[in-house]
Amino acid sequence: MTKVERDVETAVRGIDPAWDAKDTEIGLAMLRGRLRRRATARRAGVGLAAVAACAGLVWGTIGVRSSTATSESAPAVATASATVRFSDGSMVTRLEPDAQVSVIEAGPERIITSVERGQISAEVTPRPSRVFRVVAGQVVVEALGTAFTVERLDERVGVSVRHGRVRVTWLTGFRELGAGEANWFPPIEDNRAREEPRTSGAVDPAVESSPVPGSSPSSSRTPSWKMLALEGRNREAYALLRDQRKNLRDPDELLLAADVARLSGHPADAVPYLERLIKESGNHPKAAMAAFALGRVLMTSLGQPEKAALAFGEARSRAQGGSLAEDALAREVEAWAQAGAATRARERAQEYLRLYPRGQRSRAVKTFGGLE
Amino acid sequence: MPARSHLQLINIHPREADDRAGLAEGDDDDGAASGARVARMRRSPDSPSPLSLEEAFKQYAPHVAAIGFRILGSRDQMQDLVQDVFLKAHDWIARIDDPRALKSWLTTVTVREARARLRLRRMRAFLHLSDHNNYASVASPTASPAERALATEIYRILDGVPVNARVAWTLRQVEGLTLPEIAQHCGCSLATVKRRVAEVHRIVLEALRDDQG
Repeated sequence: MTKVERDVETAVRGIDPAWDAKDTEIGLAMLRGRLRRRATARRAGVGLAAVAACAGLVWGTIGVRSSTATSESAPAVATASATVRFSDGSMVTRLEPDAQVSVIEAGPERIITSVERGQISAEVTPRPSRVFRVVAGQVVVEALGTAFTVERLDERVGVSVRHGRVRVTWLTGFRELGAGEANWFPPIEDNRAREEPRTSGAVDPAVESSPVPGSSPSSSRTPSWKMLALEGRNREAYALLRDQRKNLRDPDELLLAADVARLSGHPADAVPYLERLIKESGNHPKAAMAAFALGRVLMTSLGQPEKAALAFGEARSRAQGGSLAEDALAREVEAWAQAGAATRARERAQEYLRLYPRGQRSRAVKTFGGLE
Repeated sequence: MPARSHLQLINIHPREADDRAGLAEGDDDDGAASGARVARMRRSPDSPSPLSLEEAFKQYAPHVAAIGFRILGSRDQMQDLVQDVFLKAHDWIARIDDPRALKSWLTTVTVREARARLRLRRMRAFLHLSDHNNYASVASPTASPAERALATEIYRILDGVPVNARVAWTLRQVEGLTLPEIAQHCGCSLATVKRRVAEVHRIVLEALRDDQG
């Protein structure tokens, strides 16, 4: 066993939530509360369904479960309503009694809803400055001024467009659908290709039985380098990225591209992405992260500790406090030490200990700063 | 709670193993399918009495929390996860005759819930809806600064590997489950588990070696 393996084993051994009797009591109280609320909601749902049935309309309810949304950004929606109407006039309507929809974000720039199960329809008011997305599992439907329905059956998502256009994105590709077009996503071929050997040899019934209303999505088979990167398939992502490197502008894209280059074994190729991000992004928060990543690449992969120290200094000044600034200062000490600049290393180490007297990297900082 | 007290092996009745073999990895169900399978498990004459939900929570919440925390690396998400797992258990616990099967069932549901949350987290990051995860407090406060820093770094590295592989590696290296147990809870073959664990182990070690120069 190597030293790194021993270190990993030691480090993970200490990962424990330290759940105690108090946590159990609190958790049990929360559980009782949630069970009570669920029972109440079910009774209310039964009552509403009865009323709606009498009126000849069985609408059911939309359960707005927006634990991930900020309360101020979520629209004021009655949980017993069949339709969510947003301030710009866009609407999401549940088409099945047990459909479950969550509003993740509703603001002037973005409206994002999530379909946990069932079928919904969306009427989207055209507004180029606002993004309208429906997330269903690992499929994202982005409206381009349109009306469409989304149906989720486990991991399969059916999208049907009444008018306008939508862009459907899944982990390994995307496709635009126009008026009258419909399809299931991810495409069935895509699912089969990704299927792993299973213990029972059972076949996912949703994949086998899902109808495919549209034509073969051959045009959508081009995987996105970003999706591949998000899946951790960095070598494949790097191969696709090489043709697109000049087109990248978005800070997140540049940062991700640098990660792809570094993790696919091409650390030198990460440098231009990071430098461009730092240079072109002004005060964007990702610029600090880029400077930090640049320092790491220069120090650990390219053997340029002096340049790395400057990059860590840049990261620290851009981070303006916080854990990134602390990490950057600690790394700067290490980089100066590696560069043979003992005086600078000691000065930075003293600065670290003054700013972060209980810092997580104090021990390493003292060692590299020659303060032990 | 003593550290890693949950590392005891789970005893699985052969019939239970057969039943659970039908649980495939892609079935991120709401617990219904796995619950139905557990419900079919026969209670042996020497089995203890079935547990109520509260008894089950008191007995197994630490186990569920430990698995959830180790997979997610987040204390906040762990609390939500424990709640969601036992809400699902509420629907099925009355049908589980043999309480010894309950722990295994809860483990499987926990793994699936955690996996779904990791996928959602990744999707949210892709949609720019969340910042990078903060794993600064993933290690025990009693760990040394170097161990805490290393644990944080390991979870950052895990953010870059596929979710299924991350779950398998975490269950093996952090949770300490055996490979067959992981295959059972993840609903995939033993060979797949071995491959995933080895691949992530390689990535983690390489990344850490890079860091250490």
